[in-house]
Amino acid sequence: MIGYLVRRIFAVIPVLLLVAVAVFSLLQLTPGDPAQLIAGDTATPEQIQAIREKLHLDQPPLVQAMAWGSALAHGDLGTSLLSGVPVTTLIAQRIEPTLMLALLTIILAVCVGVPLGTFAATRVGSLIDRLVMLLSVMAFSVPVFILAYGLVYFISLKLHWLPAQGYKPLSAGLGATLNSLMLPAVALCGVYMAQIARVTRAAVIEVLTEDFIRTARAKGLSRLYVLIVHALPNAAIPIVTIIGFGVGGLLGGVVVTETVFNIPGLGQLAASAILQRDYPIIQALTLLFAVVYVLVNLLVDLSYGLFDPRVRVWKAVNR
Amino acid sequence: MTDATADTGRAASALQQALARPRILVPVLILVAATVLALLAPALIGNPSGINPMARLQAPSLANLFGTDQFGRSVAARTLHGTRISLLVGASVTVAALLIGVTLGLLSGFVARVDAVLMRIMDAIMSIPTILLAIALMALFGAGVFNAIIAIIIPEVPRMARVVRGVTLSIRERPYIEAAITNGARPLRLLFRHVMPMTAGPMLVQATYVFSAAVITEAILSFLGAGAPPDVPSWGNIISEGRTLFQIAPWVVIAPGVCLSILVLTVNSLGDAIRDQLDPKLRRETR
Amino acid sequence: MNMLPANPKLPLLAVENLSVEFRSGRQWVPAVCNVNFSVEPGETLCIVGESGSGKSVSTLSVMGLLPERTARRSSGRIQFDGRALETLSDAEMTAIRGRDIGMIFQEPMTSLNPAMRIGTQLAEVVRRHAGASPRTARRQALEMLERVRIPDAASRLDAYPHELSGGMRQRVMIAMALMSRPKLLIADEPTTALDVTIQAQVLALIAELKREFGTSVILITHNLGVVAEMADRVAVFRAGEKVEEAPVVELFDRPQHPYTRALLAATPRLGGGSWREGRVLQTIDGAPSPSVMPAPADAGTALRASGLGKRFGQTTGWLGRLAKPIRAVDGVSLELPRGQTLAIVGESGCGKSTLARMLMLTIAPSEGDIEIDGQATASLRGEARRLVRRRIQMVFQDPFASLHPQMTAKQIVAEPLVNLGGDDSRTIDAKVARLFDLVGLSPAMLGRHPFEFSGGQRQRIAIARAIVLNPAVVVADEPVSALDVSVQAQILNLMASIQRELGLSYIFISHDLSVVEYIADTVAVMYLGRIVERAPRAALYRSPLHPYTTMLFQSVPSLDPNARRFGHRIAANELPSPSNIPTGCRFRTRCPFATELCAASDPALAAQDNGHEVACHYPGIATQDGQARMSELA
Repeated sequence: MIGYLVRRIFAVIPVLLLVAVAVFSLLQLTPGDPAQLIAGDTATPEQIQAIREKLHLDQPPLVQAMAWGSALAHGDLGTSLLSGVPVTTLIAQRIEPTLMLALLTIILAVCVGVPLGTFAATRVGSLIDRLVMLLSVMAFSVPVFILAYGLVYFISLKLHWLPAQGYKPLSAGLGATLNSLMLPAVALCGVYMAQIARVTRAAVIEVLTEDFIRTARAKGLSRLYVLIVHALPNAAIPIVTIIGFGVGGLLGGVVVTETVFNIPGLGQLAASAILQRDYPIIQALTLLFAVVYVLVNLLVDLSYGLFDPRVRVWKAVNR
Repeated sequence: MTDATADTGRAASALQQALARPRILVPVLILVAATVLALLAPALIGNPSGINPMARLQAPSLANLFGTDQFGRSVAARTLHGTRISLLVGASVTVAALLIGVTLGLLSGFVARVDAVLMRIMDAIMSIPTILLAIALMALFGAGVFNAIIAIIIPEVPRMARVVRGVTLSIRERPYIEAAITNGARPLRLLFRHVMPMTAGPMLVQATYVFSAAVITEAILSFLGAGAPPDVPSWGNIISEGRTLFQIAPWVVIAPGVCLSILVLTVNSLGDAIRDQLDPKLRRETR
Repeated sequence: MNMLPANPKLPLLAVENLSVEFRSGRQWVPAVCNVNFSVEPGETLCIVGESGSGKSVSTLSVMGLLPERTARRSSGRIQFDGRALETLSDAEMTAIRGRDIGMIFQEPMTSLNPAMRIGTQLAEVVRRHAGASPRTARRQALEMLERVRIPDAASRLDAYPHELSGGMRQRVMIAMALMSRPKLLIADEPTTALDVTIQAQVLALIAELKREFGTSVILITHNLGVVAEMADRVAVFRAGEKVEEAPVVELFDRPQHPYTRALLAATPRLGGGSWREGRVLQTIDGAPSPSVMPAPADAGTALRASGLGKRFGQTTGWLGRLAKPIRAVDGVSLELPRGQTLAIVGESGCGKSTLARMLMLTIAPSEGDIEIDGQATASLRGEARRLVRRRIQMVFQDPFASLHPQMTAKQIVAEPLVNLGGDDSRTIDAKVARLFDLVGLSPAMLGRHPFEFSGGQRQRIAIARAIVLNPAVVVADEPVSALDVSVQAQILNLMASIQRELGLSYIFISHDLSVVEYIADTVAVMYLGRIVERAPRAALYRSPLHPYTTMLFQSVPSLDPNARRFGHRIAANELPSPSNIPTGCRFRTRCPFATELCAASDPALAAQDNGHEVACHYPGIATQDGQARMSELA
């Protein structure tokens, strides 16, 4: 087991290195002069030169990479071109709303998606099952900003139940924070929840056809007991996999959701940085989100061992 | 050769069978209709950029089916022209992702040495959220439909490659492939005649998901101002322009929003229907 | 014919007029029609039939475990222990399952929850039905594991199913089914997935526990040998109907229904001889059997393998460190005379399939050379290696998985010609059509896809594909073990007549000694990667010299209910892991005659009389003669 853990953890390193290289070389691969591009069409030669020096663009790529990498190793993600504030400071200022939004969304999606999918799986082909499937394909298809505007229109503007915009920090009390994040979280979790429900349904249906479920029923165990004790743990691997996988979509959705709801988090920072071509911020956030995604999926991989005692065996064979 | 005619005959009858199912026929018809409308848009409906200060922010009426925006432009005309962008982006990304993804996937599934390197690279690309990667690329490329297509292809390729690789690896282990080897099939014949046809189904299903993901990503890019330039009407930038006036003129946002949702829903339903058709295990109703 | 023998006792289970339907699209089609059967207390009823006969479906409907949306009981009364089961509610039925009726299924690999410890799965039964405390339940689980003679039972309680062998898992299944001492045990093909030596152990265990607990047993099987060993009474099912029911001796001595007679005639039995001697294996469709033909002598060698070995690397532990490799095949030498059949016999894990794949050049040997039709292959690479396949072809075990699902029968049979033949398409068409005729398929079927054929027809296609190039050697890896008995007989006859007509040479790999006796000229017995005995068929079946061969013979159920073999207790002993082969003689851990010499030195395959070779320090010891000789020496 420990061998498996260590191997999985080591396997992540090349991926992270590749991400770092990719993020770094984004700028290198750009056609034309990156400094000109970042500065924009109206910039003076002096401004362009300043950017060039700041990003070490005047040096050979390898030197740039070394400088960037060593700064990265020291926790230095560069400074914003526009405001001159270190990117790490900006991230620290804005991480709370994003973290809270992401957590709330994951909790919502899992708490609704898993039971819904399981329920549908136990009644395959029934009206309820079809309804759940229809709802999930709809939730899966409505883009996050459409759902967001729909919710704002009905819940905030028409019914005045929840605020349409803004974020209340934790220092204002957890209740206020949750109140301000409820709509964005619902909007953001649509696709995610639908994915989880669909995968859960398919996984549970699959497991329910297994021979050992018939064995458990032949032992005189009730349907509900068999479902919860025998079926769900065996369906867990695809479910946790999609939960981890969906974090990617969630992090991308954060950019849109925070823009729509005017939440001062990392997503909004990313969106504005793109429009202003504040390259160090884009680099840092891309890297940060990728690292989060990789680590979450590492956790998911490691959790396989909890659900399936065979996993370390076949993983070791498959590698 | 007779084999080839038998094959085309079989493919035709499979297509016929598939189209006999409403779950496949209905989405296909919707897509055909959307394509026809998009192609004929310039002839069917007025100039999407025709400014008319006299008719600003009019609610939907017979004259302006979906109302007008803050410049008095017809939302219907703009939305219909937006269909062209969405379908163009969806189709080009899907075709490119299929070509590149299938090549990489088959290669990975067949050559172990390539697999190790290629899949690490795919993992790295996939670990950057699609939207973030696409907008980072757009920040560099600059706004534009062609650039958006490129920026969306890059994150979608690994998803296709992964699926094809997975199927290839599992097909490779089947006894009928071993049989083909003992029957003296050369490597290329093994790949194209025996393995690849079996990947077609999952590939097709994944292609529909790539298509819908591409349409959504393009809309998001345009919505954030990093996609189609402002003078090219796209569902994303129509919504983006309409959002400031959302409270007083919601129709500007509603028409493209609904169209976008319907298109994505249609393509996703088509993917689900094909998947269920191909996978009797999921279709089979169980206890 | 359906009248039950008069019996003063009330039956424990009486099933009357049971009909079951399956859903097919929107329609319901009958799967079981008006079936009656009953089980007396303490009795064993065997339900025998081929696939699709409705034997499993009938018992599943007794348990109320038919798949809900796809099957339903359309009529029938099920009287069990004084209660009408068909009238009970779901909850009442749940209470009966596992408490009064226990059930064992076919697949020990998939029938246990892979994510739950053995002890927990056993304890669940008594916790559910007797409300036992966790501690009591665990104690009872341990007792039961000891009852089914699982070695080191206490430590097995906390094991997961994947840590146990197939035979051990089936013992766990039996323990689980008997946890709350049910009145009736339903065993659905309980030994079909097991090796023959393990099958003997498991059947003996079921018989023993049945006597001990006084349990009634319904045993469902396709294997008439198992019936003869186990049954008190037999019901024969065919296509959803019961065609005959009789006490076991009567059924075997005086079968009434033509189907029962045909089934008995199609079943190969030990000691029946080979087709070359004029033995007939009758088929249900009355197809002709091959006529007598002695094995050709001195026609040269079709295939020769020398010193063949295969090691598989195994990575375990920290960062995939290389552990001790598995020796799947170790120093195997073979010679196949032209026009003859060499059978390779052994249990799962003995390396026979690895050997077949080396002979087929699909996996490279770690050592040794293979000479196919006079051509050495070890040094061949690339195109030359591919072209050797003209001379050697293969028939696979699973006719459902070995044909490409998207190709037509014609394309499948033509594949070797297209790759290796160099014929134009007209010649290919003609050859394929001729082959179709030869294997007994109608030309109208040429354009069909594999899913449109039955298992037997698919295996015919596979045979046609293997012989279309007219190769020197055909390797057949368990070609009939996935087929029903009646179809098995057809395929064996087909293979024999093809050999007769075309002078092919076969390597026939099988676990089934009765089938091998019918088809083989020479037999090699493999154990843990080695050939331990090799002899001309007649000599081996007359006097096996290796104790392992003897054990295999003794494990085959007899087809005579008057001469049962498994009445006595059979010790639980299993194949050691190929990664941990015993020192000295590799069979000594299972051999009742092992001595210090066996532990100290590894016997080589040595020639005895009449071309008989054996790798044992005490050849023939397992026979009575051999034991007498041993005691004289001692």
